[in-house]
Amino acid sequence: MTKSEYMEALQNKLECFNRELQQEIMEDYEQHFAEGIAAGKSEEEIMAELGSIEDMISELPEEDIVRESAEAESGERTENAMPEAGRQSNTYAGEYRAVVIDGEIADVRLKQSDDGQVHADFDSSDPDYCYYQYEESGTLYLGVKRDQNSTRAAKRAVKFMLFGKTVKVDLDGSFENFEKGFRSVWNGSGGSNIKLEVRIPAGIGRVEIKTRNGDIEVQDVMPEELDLKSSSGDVSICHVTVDRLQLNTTSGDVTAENISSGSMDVHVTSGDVSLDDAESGSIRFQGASGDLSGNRVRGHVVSIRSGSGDVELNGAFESYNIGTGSGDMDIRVKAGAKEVQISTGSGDVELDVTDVESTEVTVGTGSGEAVIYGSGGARHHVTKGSSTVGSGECKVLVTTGSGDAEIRRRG
Amino acid sequence: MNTQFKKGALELCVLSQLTRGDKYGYELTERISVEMSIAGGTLYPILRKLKEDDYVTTYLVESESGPARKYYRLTDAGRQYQRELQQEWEKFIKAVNELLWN
Repeated sequence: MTKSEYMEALQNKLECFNRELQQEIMEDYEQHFAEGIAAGKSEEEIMAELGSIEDMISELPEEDIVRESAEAESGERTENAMPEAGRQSNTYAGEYRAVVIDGEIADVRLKQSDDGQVHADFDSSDPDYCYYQYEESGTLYLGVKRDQNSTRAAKRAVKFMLFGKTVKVDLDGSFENFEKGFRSVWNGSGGSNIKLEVRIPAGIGRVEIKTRNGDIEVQDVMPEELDLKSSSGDVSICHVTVDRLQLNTTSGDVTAENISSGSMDVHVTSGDVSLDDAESGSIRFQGASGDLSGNRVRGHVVSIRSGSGDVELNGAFESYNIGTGSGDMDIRVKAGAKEVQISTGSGDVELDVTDVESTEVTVGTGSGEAVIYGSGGARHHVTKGSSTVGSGECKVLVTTGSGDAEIRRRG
Repeated sequence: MNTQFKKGALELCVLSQLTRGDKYGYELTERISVEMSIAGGTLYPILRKLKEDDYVTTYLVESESGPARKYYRLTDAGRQYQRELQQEWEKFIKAVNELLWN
């Protein structure tokens, strides 16, 4: 993440607070960056020091939140003015083993319920889609589907995707409406015009959420199993404790923060994945062109397969197994590692094992060049072929085709 | 260190540092980071709240490093509040120590 991305993320998170607060915090952060840069720090270092934006947001007083209440008010007005506009709250008191949510084009948000019941709030200004729900053998199914009875709207309107958001344009309103729809997305106030918020109590074993282009947001829940799938929607999860976590997107990005899981499986095609502060027995990542960035992650085994996506990993595991086709790697291994296997076709490798007490590094390259740096300024060059340096309880194996490798070890 | 614990103590740390003279945000995060690992950003909401409660005032000083530095200064009420918190803290530490060792 760059500074501007971090600041943008900050701005987005602050949006629901009053203007004066937003401005002050943004200025504080700008000042903090300026001071850090002047002191010779890199943007990454400064961002690491500032820490998670979520942590900071959680310290801000709730009474400064202005947008949520404003939204609620306008929502009530809408309900009074247009009773057919889809806005409904549902409560389900049954005992469910599982909840399956299909958001289709809606943005889905999952949170914790505090009264032992499942709540589903559906909010839509799109007459084409309606809410549905049914139960079958202990599983609660709910979601959004196209309303078969509503054909009038389908004739008049056209929908398309823009920057990952759905834009709907009424055709009988000519260009003016188009411009309005476009501007609402451009200003960031667009998004899906259908929202589904589901709150689940503790004790539900399995939760599955899928969407086509709606975003998925999950926070503060702890089911045994959590399975999230989206095609082009983004998935973001935060403060989640779970035995089995599965994240699956095609082009949607995945952001996971503050996660504790027994196992974590991430599968993306072109979406980027960012993990921060995650603890998992095992982490498996499979990506085609999406990048993976993992910071403060720890666990037993990490296994990463990427095509052209880059991999950046800073974490503590016993076993690392990382392979890319053409993606570059920047890996920092923490103390406690026993086995590190890294291979790439044409990607470059930067590997830091200086936190590990003693290593045995074996490097093999095709046409690439490898350099192993020791702490005493010792350098070991390998151009084509294979070579081993050191003998220690942590075995490090790096192989590249045409990519270059740079390895830092202790001793 | 336990996070909940740290959160409560952070306010006292900030106030106590300010009893030693006016400081700007970055300076405070740097000083506190020397002693414990914190997400530096979390200090800003704390400082903001102290200002709203009139325990500190702020003033700007031009800086060569970029935007003007916002300095925080303890008010009399802030000094009083710091003393109260410190006393509570010492009582708390004493009680914990008692339970740890006896």
